[in-house]
Amino acid sequence: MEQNNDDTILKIEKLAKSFGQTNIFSEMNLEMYNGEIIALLGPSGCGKSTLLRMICGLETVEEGSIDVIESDGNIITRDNAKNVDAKLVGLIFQKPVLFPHLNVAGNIMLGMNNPPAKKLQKKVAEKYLNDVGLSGFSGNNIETLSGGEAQRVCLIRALISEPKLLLLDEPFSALDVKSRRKIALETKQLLKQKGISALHVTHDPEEAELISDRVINWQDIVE
Amino acid sequence: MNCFSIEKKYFNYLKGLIGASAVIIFAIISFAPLFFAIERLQMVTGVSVISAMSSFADRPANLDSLTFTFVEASFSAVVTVLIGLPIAWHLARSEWKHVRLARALLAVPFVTPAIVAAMGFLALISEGGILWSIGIDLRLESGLIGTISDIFGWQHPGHFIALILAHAWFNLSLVIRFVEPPLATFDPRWEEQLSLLPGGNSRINRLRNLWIPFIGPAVLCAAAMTFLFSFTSFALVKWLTPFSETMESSMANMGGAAGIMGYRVDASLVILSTSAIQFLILMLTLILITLLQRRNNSRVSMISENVARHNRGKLSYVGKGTLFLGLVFTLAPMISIFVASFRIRSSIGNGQFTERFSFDAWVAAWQGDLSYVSASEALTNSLIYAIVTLLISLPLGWIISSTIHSLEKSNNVKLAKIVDVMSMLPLAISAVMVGLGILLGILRYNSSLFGFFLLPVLPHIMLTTPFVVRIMTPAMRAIDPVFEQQARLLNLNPIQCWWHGRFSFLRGPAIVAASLTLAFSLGEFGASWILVRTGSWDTLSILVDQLMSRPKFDPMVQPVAMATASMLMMLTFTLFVIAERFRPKGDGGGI
Repeated sequence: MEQNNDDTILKIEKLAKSFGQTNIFSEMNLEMYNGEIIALLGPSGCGKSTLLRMICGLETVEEGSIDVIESDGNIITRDNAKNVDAKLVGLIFQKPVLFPHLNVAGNIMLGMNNPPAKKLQKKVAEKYLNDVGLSGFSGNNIETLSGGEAQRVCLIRALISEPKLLLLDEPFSALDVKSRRKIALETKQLLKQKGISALHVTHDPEEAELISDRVINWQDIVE
Repeated sequence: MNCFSIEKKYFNYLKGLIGASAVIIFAIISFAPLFFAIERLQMVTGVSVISAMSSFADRPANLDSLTFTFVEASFSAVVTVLIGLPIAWHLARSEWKHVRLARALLAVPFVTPAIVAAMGFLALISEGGILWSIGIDLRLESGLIGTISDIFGWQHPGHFIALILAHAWFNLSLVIRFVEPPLATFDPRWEEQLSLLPGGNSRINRLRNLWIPFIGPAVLCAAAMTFLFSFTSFALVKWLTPFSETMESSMANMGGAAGIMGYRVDASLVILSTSAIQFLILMLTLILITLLQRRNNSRVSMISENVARHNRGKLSYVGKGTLFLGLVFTLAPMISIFVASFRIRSSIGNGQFTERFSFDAWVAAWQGDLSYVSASEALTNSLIYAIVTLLISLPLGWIISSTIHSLEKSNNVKLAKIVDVMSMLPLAISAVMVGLGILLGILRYNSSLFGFFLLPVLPHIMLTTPFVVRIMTPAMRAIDPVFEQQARLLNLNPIQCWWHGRFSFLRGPAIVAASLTLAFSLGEFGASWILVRTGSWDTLSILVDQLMSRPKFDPMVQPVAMATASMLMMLTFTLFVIAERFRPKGDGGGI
C-alpha cells in the first residue's frame, strides 16, 4: 500500500476498457479531491457506467490505473480482480435496487455498519427518512414506492454507510424534470452535510450543473 | 340486454357448472378411497380412527417403522439438497451452451418409474455393478461398509446408504427445478449493490441478507417435497432396504389381510392407525410446501435468464466438475440397468461365475419365458392404462386449472386457493393407501368390480391430475388477456378467439402435462401393486417387480427383469424428451 499526501481521493491514469474486440474508452485521466462533487457529462453508451463499476471494483482494470485514496493516505489500487470495499466506495445504480424481501427500514439497515436490534430498526430508519421527506415510510413495502421515493431510499442507504466516495450512475434519469431537480438538490445538500465526495455521471447538462461543484465533459478526459 | 350478453351469461353459467362439476368429481375420486378404507377398517376393527391413532405406539413395530420412515425421509431431504444445490448453482449462474441439455438430463430421474430406479440402484450396487467394482459393497455389506457396521453397531448401513442415494437421485431434479430458476433469473445488480453496502461486505452477510431470503424458500420447498416423496416411497424401500420397513411398506405388506371381517384384525388395526398418522404428517408437509411455494413465488421475477447468464460469465472448472459429477450420478443407474439387461452371469461352482453378453434376456422378456405375462402384454396393459388415464386426467386437470384461474380473475381468491390446495391433496395420500382404499371400498360396496379391467386407472387419475393442475395453472395465469381481446376485436368467431388467444399459448404446457401424465401412469407402482395382484392385468412396473421377486437360481431372472425395466425406462425417457421439447424456456416451477 502506497502513501498519498495531498487531498486527492480518486486518481485515474491512462485507463482503458474494452469488452472483447469492442473498445469502450482509452487513455482516460481524471483526478478528484476530498469533499468534491463532480458531474461527468457524456452521451449515452460512452462508458460512463462502466467507469463507475471499475472504480468501485465491480469491473476489472486491465490497462491504466485507478487509485482510491483513503483519508489516512492509504492508496487502494484497483487491479484485474473484482474487489469491492463497501466502506470506501458506494454506488447508486440508475434504477433503484431495493430488496423486495425487506421493507424500507430493512433496506436502509443494510447500509449500517452496526444495525440496531430488530425492534428499533423502524425508529432509526425514520430518523434518516425524515432527511429526504419520507417520514412514515419505514414500514412500507418497497413495491409501494414510486421511482423517486425508491431512489431516495437508495440514497439514504448509501449515505448511512458513510463511504469516502459515492458514485451516482444517473440515478435520477427515470424521474420527471421537477422531481429530478428536487432530488438533485437534496442529494447535493446531504453530500455536503456529510462531507462525502461524489462522482455523478449524467447526460443531462442541467442536472450536472445543479448537483456538482465541477462539471467535466467526457470527451475532455478520454482520448 | 342484447342477444350477445344473454348468450355470454349462459355461457358463463355453463362454464361455472362444468368447473364446479370437475372439482367435485376430482374431490370424490380423491377422497372416496380414503373414506371407504377408513370406514371399512373401522368396521372390521371396531375402533375409531382416533382410538387407533392413540394405540399406534402400543405396537413396537409401528414405532420402528415410523422412526425409520422419518429418519430415511429426513436424511434423503438433506442429502438431496446437499447434492442438488451446487449443481443448481452452477447450472444457473454460468453461460454455457449445453445448459439446456444438462438440465434436461438431470431432470430425467424424476419421471423415471420408481421400480426402474430401484432396479438401477440394485444393478449399481450388486455384484458386477459400478459401486461394487470400486470396492463399495452396499448390498452384501462386506469390506468398508461391513467395517462401519461392526464399529458402530449399525445394522445394514449399506442398504440405508443405497436408499438415501436412490432418493437423492430420484428427487435431485426437484432441487434443480425449484432453485435454479430464481438463481438463473436473479438480477446481478442486487448482488452488486449488496456487496457495496456494509450489510453485504462479507460472505456471511451476503448469505444472511441475500441468498437465504431469496433461495431459502425454494430450497426448503424442494427439501419438503423430497421428504414427502421419500416418506411415501415404496418400490425403492422394498428393493433396497429389505430388512427395514417404512410406514408405507408395512401397510403394503399387511394390505392383503386387511379389511376382511373376523380375519387378522391386528393387520387392519395397524393399517388404520398407520395410515392416519401418515396422512397427518403428509398433510402438515403439504401445508408447509404450499406456504413455501407462495413465499417463493413472491420473491422471484427479475431479469431475462440470458442477460443474467451473460453478466456472470463462463462456466468455471469447479462448475464443469460439479456438473460432470451430477451427470455421472444421474446417468449411472440408468446405464447400469441397460448393461445388466445384456449381462448373463452363470455360476460354475465354488462361488465362481462366467459372464456373457447377449440379447437373450430381451427376447425372454418379450416372450414372457419367465413370467405369466410377457413384456409385450404388460406393455399393452400399461399403455392402455396410461392412455385412459390421460384421456381423463388432462381434461379434468385442465378444467380445474381453468376454474382456479377464473376464480382468481373474478377476485374469489380464497375460493381459488381452496380449490388449488384441494387439487394438491392427493399427494398427501400415499399410493399404497390409495390402492388399499379402492380395494377395501370395492370389497365393502361392490365386489364384482374386482373384475373390472380399468380399475387401476382410478389411482392413476388421482396421482397424475395434481401434476396437470400444477403445469396448466401457471400457464393460464401467464397468458396476457390482450391476445383474446385483440382476437375479439378482429371479429373472429368464439372458437377462433379461443384458439388464437388462449389455446395457442396452452398447447406447449398441455403437451408437457400429457407427456408427464403418460410417464407417471406408466411408472406407477404402489397402488397398482395392491390392485393388480388381485387380477392379472400386470403392467410393466408390476412385471419388473414380479420377475425380480423370483428366486435367482436361474441366471436369466435378473437380466430379464432388467430388460423389462429398460423397456419401461426407454418408454418414459421418450415421453420425457417430448415434454422437455415443449417446456417453455426458463420454466422450472411446478415440476
